[in-house]
Amino acid sequence: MWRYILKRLVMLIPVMLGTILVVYFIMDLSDVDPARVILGDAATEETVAQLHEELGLDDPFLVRYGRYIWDLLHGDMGQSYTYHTAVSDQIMQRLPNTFLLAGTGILLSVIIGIPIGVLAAKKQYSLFDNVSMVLCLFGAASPAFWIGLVLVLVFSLHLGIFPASGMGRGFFGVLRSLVLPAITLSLHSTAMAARTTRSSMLETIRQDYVDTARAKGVSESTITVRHMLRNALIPVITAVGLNFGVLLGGSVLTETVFAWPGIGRYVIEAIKLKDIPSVLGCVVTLSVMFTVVNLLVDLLYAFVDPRIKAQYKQGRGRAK
Amino acid sequence: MKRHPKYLKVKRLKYAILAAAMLLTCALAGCGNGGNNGGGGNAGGSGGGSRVQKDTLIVAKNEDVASLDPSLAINQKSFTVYGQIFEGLVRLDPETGEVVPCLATQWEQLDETTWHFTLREGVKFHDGNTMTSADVVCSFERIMTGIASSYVDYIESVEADGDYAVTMHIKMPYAQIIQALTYPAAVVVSKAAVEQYGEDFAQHPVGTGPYAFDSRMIADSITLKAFGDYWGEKAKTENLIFKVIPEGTQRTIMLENGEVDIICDVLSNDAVRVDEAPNLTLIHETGYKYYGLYFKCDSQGPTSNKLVRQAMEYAIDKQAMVDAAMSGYGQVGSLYSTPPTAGYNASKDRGNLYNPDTAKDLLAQAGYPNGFDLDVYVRTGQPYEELATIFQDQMKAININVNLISLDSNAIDEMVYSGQEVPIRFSFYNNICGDVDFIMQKLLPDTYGQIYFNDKMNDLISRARAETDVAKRQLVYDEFYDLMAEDVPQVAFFYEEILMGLNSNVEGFHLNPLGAHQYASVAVYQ
Repeated sequence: MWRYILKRLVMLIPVMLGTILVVYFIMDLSDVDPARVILGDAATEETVAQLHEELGLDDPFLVRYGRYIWDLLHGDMGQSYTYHTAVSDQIMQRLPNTFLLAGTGILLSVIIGIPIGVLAAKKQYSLFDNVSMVLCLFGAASPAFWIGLVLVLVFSLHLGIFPASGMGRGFFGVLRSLVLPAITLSLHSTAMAARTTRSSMLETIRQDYVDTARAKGVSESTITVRHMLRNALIPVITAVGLNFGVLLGGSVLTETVFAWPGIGRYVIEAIKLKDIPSVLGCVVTLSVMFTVVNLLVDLLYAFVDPRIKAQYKQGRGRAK
Repeated sequence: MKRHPKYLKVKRLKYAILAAAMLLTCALAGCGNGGNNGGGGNAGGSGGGSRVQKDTLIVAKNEDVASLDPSLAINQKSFTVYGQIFEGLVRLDPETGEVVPCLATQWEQLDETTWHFTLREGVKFHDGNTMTSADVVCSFERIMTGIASSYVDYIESVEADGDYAVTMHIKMPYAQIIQALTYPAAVVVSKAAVEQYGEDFAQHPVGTGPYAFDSRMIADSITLKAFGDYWGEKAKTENLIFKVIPEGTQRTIMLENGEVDIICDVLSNDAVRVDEAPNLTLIHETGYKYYGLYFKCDSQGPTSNKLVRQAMEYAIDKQAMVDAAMSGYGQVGSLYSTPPTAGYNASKDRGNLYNPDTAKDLLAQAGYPNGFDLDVYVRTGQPYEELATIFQDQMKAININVNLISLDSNAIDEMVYSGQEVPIRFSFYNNICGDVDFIMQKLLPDTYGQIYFNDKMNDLISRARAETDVAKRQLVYDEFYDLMAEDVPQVAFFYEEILMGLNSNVEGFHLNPLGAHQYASVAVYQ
């Protein structure tokens, strides 16, 4: 197991190098001069040239790329052109907010999506099944920015229950401000979780061991949870796990619509302001998080399905 | 029927979960009605009884500050906040618009290039230290070497003259210096705090203003607290919170909900809604900013001919632009300075020159009776793209076929700085010093990306700067306006109206033409 984890973490290195290279190259293609971004449009030629010298902006591409990687290995993501502070500080202040939003989003998709999927499968072709699947289709197809604005109009402007934008203060303040963005963010993943659960449940629902359990007199709820759902969970975990990564990156739109102070909004601002170190810092952070979340999902399989744990152990045996 | 104990346990658990969910819902809804200290509740007036003042004023702005260190951040999004923390030697009176003493009580011009400022005594910084001339010298030295240096490049040096006076040496005669010192970044910081915090000063900004820094949540909010030892009239509201809400529509909704008390930069298409709402107030006044198009006067194409530039100004219906792109909120004008700017002359303002026949005649005189094709560079975003589309349509009337090229503003600036062919670009000027002189020097060749060559400009700038008599200086400015009407290096479309939305329970707000509004005089009631 540990060998597997180590292998996956080592694989992160070429992934990161490649990702940074691509983003660095794209940002470098832009005609914008970082020195002018930093100094503002009233800067003189002398001050611009001086800053070029200081930042090494005239060095060849590969030299600058190598320098960035070297600094990154020392934990230095550079200085933000916009905020004049360390990019890592900016990211670390926003990252918990993004995790809170994405985590709540994924929690909502699990506690709403999976039960809907289970019920829809158990009552296949019923009214509930049809209505819930149509709603899931709607949820999967609706763009986040539109849903967000509709939710604001209804729950904020007309009903006045939740704040329209921003992050509240204190426990209840944060909770209130979290509701609308979390629902917006989770809608797509809830629909995916419900649909995946339903189709996966339908496969297990007619298995022989389910009939055997019923014949043994096991209660229906135990059969549903322990025999059907647990066996149906592997594809659901894959879908939810992948969605968590998507939610971390996909929070860009939701964070912008709801003025949520997370990393998604930071990356949008940084792109708009040509703050290259900030863009790179965000991309690196999101890539690492995405990879780590995927690794965690893979590890979760082992706890849900003992057969997979056995496979890991076999792998270790072979390696020996 | 007797239930199995396990069944009853599950049922109890279900009820417990249901009850918890209901409690949580009630709690959240309860917070919605009363939990928002300061911003909660719609403005509804007092209802006749004595009004209760809130201790928190919440202002929603569209962008987070770049930094709270004035030597690092010179943009509007930053000085709207740090302008509450720091003060300069002089300031604009919010009611009259006149320059009045602030940290300097009086000033005197010793000779053409030397000014003497007497400092206010007994002024305390937020860290408890007393402000002296050493702080002023330290502050100017930071500004002169920071990114704002080009805005104070007229200063040669600043030196202390005892504890409560400074002498400022300037590079050339500059009669408008007192107005120029209202520049928002020209403020006094605590030398002790600068030395203590070094590069982290932005995280610990210490000034003399009516509000002291309390806390900041990156990209979300900044909280300031009223400074008890403030030398002047104390802030009316104890807490001042700036919330960062980038979406204009969201800001309007939050104002309508009573989540915030004041919103900055009301979208022009939301302005009518705010104006007509019974519990809201729209404040709109002309600021220092004007929108327009800038010509490359040494272009390879037709725009190098001033008759073509004049023709294009006559072909533009500026009022149509204001109506369509700004919902009518804007003042049509032809000058490169707006009414609140020192040196503005209404009698020189030709307003909307729209006359397609005159435009066609001028174009024919220039040798283009059948028009021509033209690339126009437009920075992305509102209102530039809307203005450009209207412009494109209006140019068709004089047979100029406009090809719109939308690019990021930085990319366009980069093209201009590197000498590439950008015949026309849409942009704006914000006169951050509040005097026509600021725009005049920005029109000089290779300054601010402006491509206009006329030796008369240097002469006019020098004469205006040397003239201490305001009435005589105005005559120089009038010459400048005449020259611009002749050469047309820019076409000003309209002067921006600053749009602020207020709950009607807010009192004492005065708009600043630069957007550097002061909130110390603002009180907000239940």
